Amino acid sequence: MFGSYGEDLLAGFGETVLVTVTAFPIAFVIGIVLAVFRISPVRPLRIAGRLYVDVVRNSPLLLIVVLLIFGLPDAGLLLPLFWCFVLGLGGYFGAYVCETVCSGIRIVDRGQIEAARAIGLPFRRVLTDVLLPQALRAMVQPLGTILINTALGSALGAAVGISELTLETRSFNLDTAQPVLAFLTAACGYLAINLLVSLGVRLLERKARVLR
Amino acid sequence: MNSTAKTGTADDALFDQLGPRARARLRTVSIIATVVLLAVVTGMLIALGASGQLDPDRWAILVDGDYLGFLATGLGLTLVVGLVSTALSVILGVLLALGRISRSRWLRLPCAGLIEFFRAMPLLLILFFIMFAMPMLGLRLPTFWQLVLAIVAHASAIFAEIVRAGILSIGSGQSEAGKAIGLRHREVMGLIVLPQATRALTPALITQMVRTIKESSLGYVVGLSELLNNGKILSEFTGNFIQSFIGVGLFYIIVNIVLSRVAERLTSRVGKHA
Amino acid sequence: MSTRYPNRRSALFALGALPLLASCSGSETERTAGNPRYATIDQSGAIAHGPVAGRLPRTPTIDEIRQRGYLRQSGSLTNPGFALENVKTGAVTGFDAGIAQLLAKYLLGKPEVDTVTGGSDTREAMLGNHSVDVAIGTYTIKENRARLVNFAGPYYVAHSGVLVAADNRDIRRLSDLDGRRVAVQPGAAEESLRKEVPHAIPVLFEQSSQNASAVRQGRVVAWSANTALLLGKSVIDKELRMTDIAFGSSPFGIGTPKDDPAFKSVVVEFLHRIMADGTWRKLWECTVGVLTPGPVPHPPRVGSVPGS
Repeated sequence: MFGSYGEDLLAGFGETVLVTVTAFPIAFVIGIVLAVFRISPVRPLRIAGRLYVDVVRNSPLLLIVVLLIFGLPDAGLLLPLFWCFVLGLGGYFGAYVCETVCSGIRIVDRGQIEAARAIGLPFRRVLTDVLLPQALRAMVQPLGTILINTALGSALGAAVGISELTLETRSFNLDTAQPVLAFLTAACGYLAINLLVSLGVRLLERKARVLR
Repeated sequence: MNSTAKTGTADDALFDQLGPRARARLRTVSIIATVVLLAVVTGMLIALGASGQLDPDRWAILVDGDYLGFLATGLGLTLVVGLVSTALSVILGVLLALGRISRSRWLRLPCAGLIEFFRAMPLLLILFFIMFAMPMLGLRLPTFWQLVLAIVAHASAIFAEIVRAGILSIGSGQSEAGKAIGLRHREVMGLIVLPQATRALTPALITQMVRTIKESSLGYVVGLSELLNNGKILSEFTGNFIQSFIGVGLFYIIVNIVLSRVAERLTSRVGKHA
Repeated sequence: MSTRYPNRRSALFALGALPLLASCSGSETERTAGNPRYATIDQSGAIAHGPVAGRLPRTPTIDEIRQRGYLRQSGSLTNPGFALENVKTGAVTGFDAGIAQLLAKYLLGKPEVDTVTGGSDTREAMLGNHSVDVAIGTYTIKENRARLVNFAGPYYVAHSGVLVAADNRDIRRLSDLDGRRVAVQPGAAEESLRKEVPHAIPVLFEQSSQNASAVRQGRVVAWSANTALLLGKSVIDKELRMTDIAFGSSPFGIGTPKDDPAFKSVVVEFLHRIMADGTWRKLWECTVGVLTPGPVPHPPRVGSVPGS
């Protein structure tokens, strides 16, 4: 049914997964750093964090990716195509991670923190025992959504020559003229990713509840 | 920090009012942070300068009336795509959401299926399906509708979930109260739930517009002369790639920030009236 | 708007092309920010010279074009020398674009063309269901393609060349590309590279300037495309150098719908006309000729390639 294209499609799926699992940690780290910037008392850092989030969240992902691939080398950083793309995805979704982390922290009742400090807990324990457990719990669901969106965003690789699932589907369809088969197969791939992440989120949320 | 101390966010509660020593330390940290940030930016600028990217002649394209006009034409089409897709996806999204919470299983299941399916699909895959698969199946749309259809398929599924969350947040107490005074399901929806949900959804509408404007950049792939695609042509014509695309980026950022500010204002107004 | 053209100091640059320009367009050329050469391409003189058909047979495609009032074609807008939108004037300039405009003029009496830029792999599908009338633009005539599309042509035979960074001395022969990353645009150049240099690693970038950047920045070792396009780039960009390597031949044809053979005959007749009356040559001078030194090539013989 698939001929030799089965392998290509599978490789494309592998590439989609690889891009996603590489880009998401980058997004996570960038997001945390940005969040620290944004809640820090250091004004230049707050401004830089705000500027980054405003610029990135209001630009199309494709623009960022294309600009990184062809602009970054001129700014002195020549990276392989894969890493340019992954960095673009990570940098883009990092802004969303930052928003999630910031609102996760804001969700925690101010009174609780004041209470924790009033009973003499040091700053670190306020963070680890009061703030983070609750904030993290609130972040699980939106972070899962960002992970799914990273996987969906990885499809833009097809527009810049990364042989991921969407690009392989396109060539499979053009070479074999079996549109229904081609796109249903790809749809299954993306549905699988979606399902897996949703399951993981549910599991983590249950764990986080116990933690509380 | 002082100015925001009364807003009551968690991060303010984490820190005490700063004493003179802490303030001095903060000043030092600020200066170091500024220097580091500036150093990173300067490093990139030096590298860009070395590859000739800072040549004023190259940036001159962004103050050229014809070129700006060309980008503005693209922006016009981007806004049209954004508006049409937002309108269609909002209508479709509301219908899908109503279908999903309907009491009829024959409506509920297909709507839920559609929402979950299209939420899980990348926009570009949907677009490729419309571009490559649909002609093979005997249907071809003009470029504009190819792009709009792809965006609407994806965005209406997302909006449907926002609407559903909005409706569920109204609370069952109110609909039960409505039923208690003898209203039908349809009347409860139309008179009690939807008006409130609509008010709460006004800012979500603007967010949806920002989303579709960003997604319309896939016109770059179908060859619709929207903003990013015109940026591509401009970069090819002038040979100034970085400059063209940064110019395009500024257009997107300005339009979207203006829209977001409107959303913020609406949110605060809605908050006051609610 | 009086400061629209802030920089006129390199009017000298365009001077070399001036005698040519006089016959290509009536308007004065001005230096614009960006690539001055691309702004000087203007084939309106050659189009004005183009023929209009006397009586045309009625075919489904011709009826549709007449009803619509303009020709709809699948092509590119970002291929300097062949089809590039002039952002200043809105005109699409270049050799392929000129062929399309001449064909529109031949059929309708006016050179009005709408270009659909859906990518090179959508052409067969679009011709197949008549969403475009013709496909013009680095469309290589091939026998397997000719099962889906009627080709009129060739109207130009392109050879693949190799462009490298100016300081690159490693690439001398075609075999030097084996195992190296080579940038190509999807379509004719990609097919030619895959066929003639199977051991090279093709890296696909849609736009010609993206391919040029990739070479300049060292992302790839070379860029392979048709020689005229590369020559044009190497003249403009001093960081790039054209090698002597040439390989393959890609006969460019005009794709027409498979189910309308009478329309193909009309297009073939059109090509004969513009090649015989000097329009073809004039068009070359006004487009690719502006970008590349050297003599104007002779037009190929229509129907000389399998599949045409």
